[in-house]
Amino acid sequence: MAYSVRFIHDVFFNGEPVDLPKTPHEPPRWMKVPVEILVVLCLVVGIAPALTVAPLLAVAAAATLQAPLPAYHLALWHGFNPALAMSLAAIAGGILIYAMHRPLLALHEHSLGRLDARRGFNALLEALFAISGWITRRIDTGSLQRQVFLFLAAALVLGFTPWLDSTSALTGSRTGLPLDAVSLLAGATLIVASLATVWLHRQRLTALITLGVVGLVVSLAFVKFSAPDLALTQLSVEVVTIVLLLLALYFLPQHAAPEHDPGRVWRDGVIALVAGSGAALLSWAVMTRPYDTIAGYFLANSVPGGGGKNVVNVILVDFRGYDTLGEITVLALAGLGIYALLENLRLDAPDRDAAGRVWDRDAHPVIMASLSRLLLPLALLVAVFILLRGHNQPGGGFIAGLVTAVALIVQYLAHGGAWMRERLSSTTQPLIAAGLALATLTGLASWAYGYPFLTSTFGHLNWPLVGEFELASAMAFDLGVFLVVVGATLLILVNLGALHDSRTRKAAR
Amino acid sequence: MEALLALVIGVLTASGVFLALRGQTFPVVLGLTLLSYAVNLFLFVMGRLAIGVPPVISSAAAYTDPLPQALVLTAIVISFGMTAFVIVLALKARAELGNDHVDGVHADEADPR
Repeated sequence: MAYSVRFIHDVFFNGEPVDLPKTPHEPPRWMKVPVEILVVLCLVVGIAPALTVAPLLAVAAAATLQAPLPAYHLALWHGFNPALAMSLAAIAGGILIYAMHRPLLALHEHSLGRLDARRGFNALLEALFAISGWITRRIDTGSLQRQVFLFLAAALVLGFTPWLDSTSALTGSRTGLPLDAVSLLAGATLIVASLATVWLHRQRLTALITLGVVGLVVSLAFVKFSAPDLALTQLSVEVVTIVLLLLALYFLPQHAAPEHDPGRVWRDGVIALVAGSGAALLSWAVMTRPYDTIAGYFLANSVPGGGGKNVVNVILVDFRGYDTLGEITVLALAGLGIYALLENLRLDAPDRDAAGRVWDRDAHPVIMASLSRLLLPLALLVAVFILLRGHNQPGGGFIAGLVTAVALIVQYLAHGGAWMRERLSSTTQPLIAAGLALATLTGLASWAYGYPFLTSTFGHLNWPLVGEFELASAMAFDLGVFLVVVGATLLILVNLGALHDSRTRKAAR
Repeated sequence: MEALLALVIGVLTASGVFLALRGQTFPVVLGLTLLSYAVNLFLFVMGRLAIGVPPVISSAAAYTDPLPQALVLTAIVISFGMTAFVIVLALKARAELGNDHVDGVHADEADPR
């Protein structure tokens, strides 16, 4: 407003212009035309708004409101109202500023050097950088241990806060199962083994054995609570995990240095207790509540839709086959990543054990070697059996793959890597690739018949001697899962073991 | 029975968290393994506890919930993959950095200046 007042006053009412470098002349005709068009538009819109801008305004306002427009009236003069008063105030303010423009400009000239916005802006920016730097340094000290601590503490705070103002009771209305003596014994064993793992974690071999006990009792729990597939999986994974950790432990210090900060032990103990009681209370609250499950669909459609009686396996290879495809991809990537990490890895391992004794020279005892050779065909037969029956009975590609891997790893343990390399290639990457390709192709095959990715089909064949035998496309998918699991597990363990072998050979020389 | 399972999950979680907060790589791997047992059991009991009703279609009248079982089955295999990756990462760190602390530096080996 002040600028408009100055513009109008100086141009039209402030006398003849002075101090001009050139004498101005009247602009040419076509320079004035655009201005004249705008002036005419202003006048027409102002005088007859309903005929000119009303349709445009109605469309724009309706688009903004996303609703029918309220009743309204377009006019230049609406009488005295707050809008008019505000316009008048703006005009008055503008005139006042223009009237005082000389002293105001003088003030600006005077304080130009001292009131510098850029200096304030820079100071503010530097302060913000300093604060964020301080916060980052407090959180990220370059210590992974500290990161884990902060992460867990944050998870606990976020997890417990909603409980503080919860009004529902901890225990729900569902009646539980009665406790029997055997379960109590198994549970007590698990708890003791778990605490022993913590207590003895500095004596690493012992801690590893107690960890194995925990895993075995967990698989017993799966047997008890109607999950045979999980029990088989847990059992075979447990064997593979313990062998893996034993191999790795060879290259790590056998005993850990004692904690030199007792405060940290107490702090971590408190965090562990809070986390443990949170998990226990949450499980208790869920287990004692009745619930609605979507399992009915899977149970009802497993046989007619998936052609398999083992619902867990049908879910894995059929209903949620896409998930499983992603999971075997993750496993394959983990195997390949480990292979890449182990490439060119040089590690110093001790020639003697923790007590200073030389390792046993008889690395591959003859009884173990002979027995394991006898067991191999049997174990492979069991794996094939588990793979084939997986669709209808507890079993399937994951479990069969793990059993096969365990059977082969036992051979490596009993005979050594060199002996095995003469008989079996240790590059299992083609196996992984074949498994992933088979699983993906099974999925793609359904496209050829016009069905969505991974739609499965099944039929019954009457084989001579065997009798009726079911053949499902999901079985090919399961075979892909089997190949990936065997390939990835062997890739991990055999390459870690090879690290071991090269080390032992060097020591023997 | 539910109380026993809740207690077991709690103990496994507490043990796992405590070991995961240790400074050296091997206890951290042990802790992560215990935590994965705890998580797998926790997911499993979301289907509630049932005895003698495996989800294999037969003439039985009732079955337990197969969905958590299917999810946990792959979780077991994936957590094996993760454990393997972490332990090999620990070996690699020991080879490259010469010690087995998660931070790559032992507190008592740190530069005394």
